[in-house]
Amino acid sequence: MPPKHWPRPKSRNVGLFTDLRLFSEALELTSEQGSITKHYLQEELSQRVHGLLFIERQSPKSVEHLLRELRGIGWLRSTGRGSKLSDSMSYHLTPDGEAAFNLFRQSNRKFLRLLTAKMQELYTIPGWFVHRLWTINPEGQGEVVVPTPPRGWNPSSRQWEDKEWTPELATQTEKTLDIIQSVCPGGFPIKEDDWIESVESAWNRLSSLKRRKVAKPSGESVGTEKRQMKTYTPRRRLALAMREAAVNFLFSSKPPYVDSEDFWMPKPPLLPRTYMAWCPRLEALELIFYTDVHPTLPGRLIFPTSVFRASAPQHTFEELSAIKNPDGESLWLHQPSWESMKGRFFTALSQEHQRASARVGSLYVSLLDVRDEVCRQLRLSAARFDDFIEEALRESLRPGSRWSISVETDIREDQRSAFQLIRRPAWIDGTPHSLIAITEIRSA
Amino acid sequence: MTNDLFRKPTVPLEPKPNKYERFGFTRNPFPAKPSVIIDSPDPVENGSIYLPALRENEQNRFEELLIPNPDRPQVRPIAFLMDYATRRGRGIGKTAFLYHQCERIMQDLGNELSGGTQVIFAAYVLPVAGGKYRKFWQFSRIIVDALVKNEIIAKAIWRLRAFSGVIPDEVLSEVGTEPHRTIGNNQWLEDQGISLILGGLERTIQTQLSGLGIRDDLVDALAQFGHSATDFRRYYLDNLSDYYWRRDDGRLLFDDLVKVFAASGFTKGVILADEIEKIVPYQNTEERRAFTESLRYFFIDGPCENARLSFYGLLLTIHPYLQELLTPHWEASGLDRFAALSRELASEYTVYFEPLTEGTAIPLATAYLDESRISDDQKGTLEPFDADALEEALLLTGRVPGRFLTLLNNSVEKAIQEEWQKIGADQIRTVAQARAPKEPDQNDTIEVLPPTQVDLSGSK
Repeated sequence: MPPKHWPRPKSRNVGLFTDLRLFSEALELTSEQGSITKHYLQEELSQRVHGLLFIERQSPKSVEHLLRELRGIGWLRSTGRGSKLSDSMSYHLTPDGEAAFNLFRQSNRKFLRLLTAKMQELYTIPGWFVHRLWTINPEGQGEVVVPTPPRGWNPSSRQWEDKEWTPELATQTEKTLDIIQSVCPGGFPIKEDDWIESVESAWNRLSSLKRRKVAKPSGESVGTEKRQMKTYTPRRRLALAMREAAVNFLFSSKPPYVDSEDFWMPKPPLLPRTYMAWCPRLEALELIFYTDVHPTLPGRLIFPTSVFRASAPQHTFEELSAIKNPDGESLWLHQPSWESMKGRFFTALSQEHQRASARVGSLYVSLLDVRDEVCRQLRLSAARFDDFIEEALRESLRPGSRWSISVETDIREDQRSAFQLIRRPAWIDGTPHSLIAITEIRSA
Repeated sequence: MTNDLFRKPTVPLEPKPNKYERFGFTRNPFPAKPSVIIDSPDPVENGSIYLPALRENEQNRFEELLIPNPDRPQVRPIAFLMDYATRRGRGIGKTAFLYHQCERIMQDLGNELSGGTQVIFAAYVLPVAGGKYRKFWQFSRIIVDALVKNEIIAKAIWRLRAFSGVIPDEVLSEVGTEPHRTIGNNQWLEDQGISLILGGLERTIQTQLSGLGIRDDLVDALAQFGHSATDFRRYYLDNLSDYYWRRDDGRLLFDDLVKVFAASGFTKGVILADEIEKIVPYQNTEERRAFTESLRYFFIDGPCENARLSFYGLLLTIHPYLQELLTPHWEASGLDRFAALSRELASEYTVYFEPLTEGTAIPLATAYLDESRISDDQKGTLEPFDADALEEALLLTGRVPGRFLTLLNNSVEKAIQEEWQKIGADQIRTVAQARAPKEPDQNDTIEVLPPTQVDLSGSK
């Protein structure tokens, strides 16, 4: 039987913004105004928080990408000819766009499902990405790790010219693989030699790039000319090299160590750059979950919260019939009802709270760490977790409840840096929360 | 009066029945918190229930290192107290130990410990968290605070008063066991016909201290208020600004006060500094280096009165990771030659705190049980526990006394709640499983992720 293939993506030019609310906001502004321009959209898109970062306005690039995608999906049309975007172009809603906006007004979740279908149609990535995760690690239900260097490794900066691949880098690369393969078997099934060789090659490529320019330090002589970077941090470069090597290994057109193409095309469907945009998007669409700050894994842990199946129980899965794999199976999102999951949710939540509590020694622990692990064990999307934690809080207030749960909004020390700043918060009653404490109520 | 603003309770609270009576206790005999609270009025919490036999080795070592006696005239200027049970530091009993050593020294000013050769005081110093002691002058200031709070400066002034020749012997014989009410009380002295001002007692002390080259403002304050810790703090210490302390940089503690103590007949002062981890981790590299340089300057060989007389002995309570933080600076400032913090010679300067053993855990538990027994008949027994239960508790708590006692506290509570008649090893295990989260232990082993609990593929 000839191999079955995924449809070739109509576009590979995905926008690099990750906040999917921009789609609905753009539709709303266009609906209100009748037509919009790029400038208008940039001015009117509301302020927002991304993780803990406050974003006052979108960059011109993001707005441009947004308009291009809306046009590609077929929800906006531009006046004038040609595909090239210009600042003066104005955009109107198409009938499909109007229908999409009406759907958004009814239900955000339904709108997101429609958006998922549209993205599948345009890019093919959503369904293919989920399928690929399941192909890489079927035993682990699609659990995959994209490595970064071990947490304790923080070497000092190196001079820009000092770009040699050293034995220390090789050791750290090897150590990272060892940890991942021990903690999450099957999550990164690469052979050690291949891994070190591909990271080294990515390191050399990154080292040969033209050095970036940075702003002049204040106090230097006047002038706007930027100065060249003199040093770089090996940890960051090694992390980038690992990501590049891992994305090429995991998400190229052929599955790892398999000699059959997923597409009728030689180009890789996903590049390290677009991979970075797709993860948060697919997470927001509830197809996958990922975390960059797993306490024991050095790297990004990704797992699907959806699966391709011929059929699935309706009370725990939601069918996305618009997305089908080459075998004709639909994508089913794991969307269990609260009643069906309540018992397991409480158990997993309290167990993970206890585990985190034993690790850090305090009763209040990071809600996000607990969330990540509960979602992994129960294969829940982050949005579903938010729903469930609200239900759990309500339930814990009822007389006779076994659990006492308390959540707080304080910003933790470890949330103020790096990935933590843009980590998806846990939303409870519209407010981002960060701490949780759970105690079992003693029987009287 | 009907106004609620002036209302007082009219119905007395009924005393609750003693739920611990079932086991013959006046209350839960064990502390609920696995740490010592020095100023707590409750003996269960403040470390006063203490079993010297438990820490006999450590106590002997402490004396060897810091207390001079006829067989051992030379002692260490700086020594360390460190838990030997690495990463089980908290709750091992260091604070209770320091508190007890302080009491031992202060009960007769080191007479028994030094074989009558020394007059010693001891001061317990506890920094609070928050990075307030990054500079050495801040460390000096909390030591001075402790000397005032523990009435050590007051005792020095009382001694100066007694030796001044102004107070007749028959009045001195009336001083009694509460000196703060007699020789430390101006009114009492005046009632005994002692003149304080106008060429009297204060003037004599002032002249004596001035002759030692002590700064004038301190001489005046000591002569006038030094006899009362509260007055000295209120009228002198509280008025010293941060700027004053910074500029003074330890001179008050290491020059002037040493002269005062020496004049009052003290021959040694032992400073017991607890929880140095509240100081060092907050310091940056330069501050650590400066801190160790200052320790060397003021305790070892700087041109100051303390270094000249080797007056103060300093016991630093450190956690193992502090060793790592401090060692490079300690060695760079040459302190390792006088007090080795790490490497082979460290044991010559260190009191190591060992974990509990079966042989010491049972007497410790018994000491706590006895303190809360209603009837003397039950004293010395382990009821409602048995020996197996205590051994199990010891094992489950990593042989750390603080955790051990807290587990026993929880077991007594659970036994009452569940109406257990006895507390055996099984009951201890039940309680241990439900106990509050413990201090994190270093986890060097790699654990596989827990299994997922749902199967999306529907294949299983």
